[in-house]
Amino acid sequence: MNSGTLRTIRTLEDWSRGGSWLHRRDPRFKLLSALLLLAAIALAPARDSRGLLLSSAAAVSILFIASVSAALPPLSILARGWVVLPFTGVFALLAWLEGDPHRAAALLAKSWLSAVAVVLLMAVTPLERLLAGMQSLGVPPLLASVVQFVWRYLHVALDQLRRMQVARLARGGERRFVFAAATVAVLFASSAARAERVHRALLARGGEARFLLLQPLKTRPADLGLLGGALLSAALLMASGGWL
Amino acid sequence: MGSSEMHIPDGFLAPPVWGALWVVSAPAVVVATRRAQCDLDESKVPMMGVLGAFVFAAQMVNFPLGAGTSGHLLGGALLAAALGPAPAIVVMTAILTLQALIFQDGGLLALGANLFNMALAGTLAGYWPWRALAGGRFNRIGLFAGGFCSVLVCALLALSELSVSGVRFGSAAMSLALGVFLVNAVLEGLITLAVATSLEAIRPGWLKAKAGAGSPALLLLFAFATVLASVGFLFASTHPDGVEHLARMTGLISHERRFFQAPLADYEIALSGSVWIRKAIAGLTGLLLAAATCLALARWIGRWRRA
Repeated sequence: MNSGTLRTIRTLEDWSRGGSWLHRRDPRFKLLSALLLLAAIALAPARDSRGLLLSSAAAVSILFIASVSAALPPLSILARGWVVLPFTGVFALLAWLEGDPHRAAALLAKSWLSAVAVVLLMAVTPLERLLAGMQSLGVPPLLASVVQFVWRYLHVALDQLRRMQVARLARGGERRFVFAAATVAVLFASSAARAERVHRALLARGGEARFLLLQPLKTRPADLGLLGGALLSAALLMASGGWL
Repeated sequence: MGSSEMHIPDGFLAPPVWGALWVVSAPAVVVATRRAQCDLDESKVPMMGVLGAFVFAAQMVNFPLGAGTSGHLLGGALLAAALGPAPAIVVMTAILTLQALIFQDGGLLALGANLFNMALAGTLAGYWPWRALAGGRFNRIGLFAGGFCSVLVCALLALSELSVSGVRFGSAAMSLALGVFLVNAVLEGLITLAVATSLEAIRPGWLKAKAGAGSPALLLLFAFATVLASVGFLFASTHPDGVEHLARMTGLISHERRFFQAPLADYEIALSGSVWIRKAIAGLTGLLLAAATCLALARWIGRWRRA
């Protein structure tokens, strides 16, 4: 689980540094477009299985085309959405056992497609640019910088946890509840000490905790094109679900 | 028993439910951020961020329970005890946002609901019992109760939001889910207690309550009200007919009908006469009623005690 988390982080970091048309768009417009698409997926009225199939197919093709145009591996993007399966699977199974297979299929399709849409957003947008965009849309600066800090030190904390686990295995690797508690306590104490060092380092640089972008956010006419495309896609999704 | 089972993905909650919870959560998080900014000096921003990374990593430590099973820390109560409630809410919000964006742990539209359950209600339900009992003879009980209440409240709220949204549970599945969540809540209490005890041995004084947050009895009452309200939400959402019946008896329903019918009329048509809208409204009304009653009672008793 631990190494899987690090791998997810690295993959998204790699993907989000591309230079395609989608990568270069204003993060605020990308966020709005993603939300539009998510809302369309959530609201697409899949009353019968034909509507569900059509709207899901439309969503898959939109996401597929978008990933190809961003020079990303479309199948890996689609596959990443399956992490919702453990949660969704249980509820889909329940719905199916209750004699409602259509609802089960709708739950699976909608939660998977929504997850893929978020993966695609993060695959074309570096997190710091997205956060800067969110900040200019009204997210409090303190919250945005805490997210930045969590993101930056997550690697460090996970790395330390891995080293501690390797050390524990090297000493015999006995699994006990109190040892796990001690691991977490040590991780807490060293994180708190690290935070104090980080703060002193910030003071030494004479600055407060602010995160700057290399290239400032700028809205171009093409960003409106992206939003228009998202609107069209959302309309297509709703229409193929049998809304019109 | 992963920690991710309380992160609701997109596609589950009905649009009115996630919409309403965004309307509640977004301002609440902004208020918590303001309070955190007022309470804290500059040095606490790196502290909040690095401790957020710690909670993220700590959620991946397996706590062996025997027989090949293991549990995880969720960390809301521990964070609230270490940083205070408002900074803990901000840190949990940051964690949940990252989990939704990067790891698809919880949906983006459902983030409002997940923030409400875990960052707001869960953190406060974890803070109040600890704050009421910290320092004295019942310090350990306070730590356990904090972890227990925080996970219990998260789980009950998540279950009731799902059932208000029309995700049907059979009674067997519901009691199974409640059993699993109860075990998880006890586990969170035990893990919180064990970690805090270890921490006290390594670095004493980290989890020390600051004075002046209100009387212990009032805080305990707040915690109790939160738990009671979430139990009430779950009951109301799984038995909307019962709430409707209650509302009709007390004469509430006629107001409710007139109040809600106009704005939702189009929606009903768009969804071609789905029954769950009415059920959801009944459930949500019950939810709000239960919460308001509990909070009013807590306020009133607090005032009465002070007088």
